[in-house]
Amino acid sequence: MKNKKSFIIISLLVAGLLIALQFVLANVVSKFEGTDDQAVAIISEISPNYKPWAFSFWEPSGAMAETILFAVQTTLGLSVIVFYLINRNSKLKRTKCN
Amino acid sequence: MKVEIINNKKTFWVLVLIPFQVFSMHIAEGFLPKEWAFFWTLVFIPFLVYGYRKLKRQIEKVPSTKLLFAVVCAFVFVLSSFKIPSVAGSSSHLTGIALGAILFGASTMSVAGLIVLLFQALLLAHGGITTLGANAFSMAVVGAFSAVWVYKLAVKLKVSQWLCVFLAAVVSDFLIYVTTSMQLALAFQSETNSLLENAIKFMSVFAITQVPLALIEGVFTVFVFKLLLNYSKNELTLLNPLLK
Repeated sequence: MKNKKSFIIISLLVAGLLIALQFVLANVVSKFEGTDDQAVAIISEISPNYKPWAFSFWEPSGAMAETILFAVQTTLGLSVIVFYLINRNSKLKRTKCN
Repeated sequence: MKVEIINNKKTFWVLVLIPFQVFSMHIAEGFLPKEWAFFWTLVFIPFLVYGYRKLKRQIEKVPSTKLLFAVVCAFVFVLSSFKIPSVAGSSSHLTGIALGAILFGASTMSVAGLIVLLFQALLLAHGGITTLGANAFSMAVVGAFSAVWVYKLAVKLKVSQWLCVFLAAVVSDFLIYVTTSMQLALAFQSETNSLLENAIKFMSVFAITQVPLALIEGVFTVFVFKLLLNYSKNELTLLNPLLK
């Protein structure tokens, strides 16, 4: 029983740390140029007359909003993984007890 | 005089596009000419249909793999949400495709890739609807199939299992970006810019940045692979007898 509890706490802690990392990285990364932006620069260099013909109809405004949305993506994924781990861990325990 | 106009135009587009068009791991909305956007979508659809059917069969055969597939998709979600700084002052993304490809088979990753790319295109304005086909092809088709081929080759060479997974993830991540470079190089070739010149230009941006990231991706993939094998060995060996 105690083991199960500590397992849940550890998984949640690791998940929390990864989400926090998202915000730390966002600060670091702002000094680095995304390969994507570099690719745009190349496109405008080799084909200066090219005009993008479609635009995203919606876009997060500002760097902070973008970081939060990426953190939402991390959280969504992690919650599935943590659910799976806790679910399996307790099942394994049960079969071992039986 | 002519040169000056082009130069002005160039700086104009650079100034206009860079602040507003947030690019991500893949080709952004509208940045692939119409005919290429259409072409890559057409190429991707058969993989998606085949992958969806295969996934459906697998879930019917072993219903408990539904949760496992969710975990595999979640892995792609988590890894592709991280923007990671790399050498040469640039940053890029991980992909996480190799894990699911090894466990569920390459074609099923078309479904996972589509979900993740749609989420990023609609909610985060990263990638785009018009470039979805091209991005899905590089990530979910080239990335997934190369992972499976490398994995199988490594198994044949009797390399230890973690190394097979590691190599598959590294090669897959790297090839995804090579494919993106080639897609851009193909779309923007002209009389003055040959395919090869373009390819070198795009590759020099993507490839160098991606090497350290591919190695990180390898480490993460091995870790989660071992975790899943530990917790769901029965289902996984039913899905893929190679995993024993």
